[in-house]
Amino acid sequence: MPITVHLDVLLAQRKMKLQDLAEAVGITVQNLSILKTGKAKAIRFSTLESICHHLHCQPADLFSFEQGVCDVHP
Amino acid sequence: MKKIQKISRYLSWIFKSLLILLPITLILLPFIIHLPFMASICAVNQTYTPEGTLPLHSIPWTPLSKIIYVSGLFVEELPLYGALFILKALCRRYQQGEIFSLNNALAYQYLSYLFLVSSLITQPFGNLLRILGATLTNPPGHRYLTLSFGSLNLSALIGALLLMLLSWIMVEASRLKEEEQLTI
Repeated sequence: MPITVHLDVLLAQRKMKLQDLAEAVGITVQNLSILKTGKAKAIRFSTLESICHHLHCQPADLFSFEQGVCDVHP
Repeated sequence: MKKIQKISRYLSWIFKSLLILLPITLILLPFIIHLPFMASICAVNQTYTPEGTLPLHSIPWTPLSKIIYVSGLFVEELPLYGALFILKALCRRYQQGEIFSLNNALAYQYLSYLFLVSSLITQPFGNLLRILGATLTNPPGHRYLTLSFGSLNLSALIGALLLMLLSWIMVEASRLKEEEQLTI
């Protein structure tokens, strides 16, 4: 997967647990875990907005793109 | 959901039984095909040839003609065996609660391919072998090697195409469902 999710890093930096963030954002721990482990296929803007709000971060802090590991076909 | 699981359990038993009974029937057939009691078994008591229907017990069978006839039945039933394996696996997944999954959609796709192979290849060739086996002991000029496509083949072909279309839709639906499940 070319998009890497840095949710675990941000949670560690803010000293926040996954369950607490899930409760604050309003989604299940399982869904948030899917995002954390990079298995998610898509994220809603509303969810992204809520995560950024509760983690006090920018969307760019959450995701990074790796060049050369691309499985998206034009 | 419970109804699907219950029905799948019964169907699974039926498919397992057929997977055992059908090969046994084929193996026994060469030994009983010439017996008079075969006349009372409506499904297999006669075969259709260009000269009309022939009761199986009245044909002067030889070992070679029996082998050819039973080979024809075996060839015709090959897609059925494949379908029974697929249906057994499908019922097992339904029992485990896996209803709308990519594996199930692909199973229906494989079933449609088997239907297609059956209608276009195995039914005509199986029929060819059965007619040859049934008429092999006839006098010269009355032995037949026929390849035919009839309304039965057409029905199976249309069934295969419909099942293929439905399976494509199911595959796409399961992919959309997976994407929706993995959307946070």
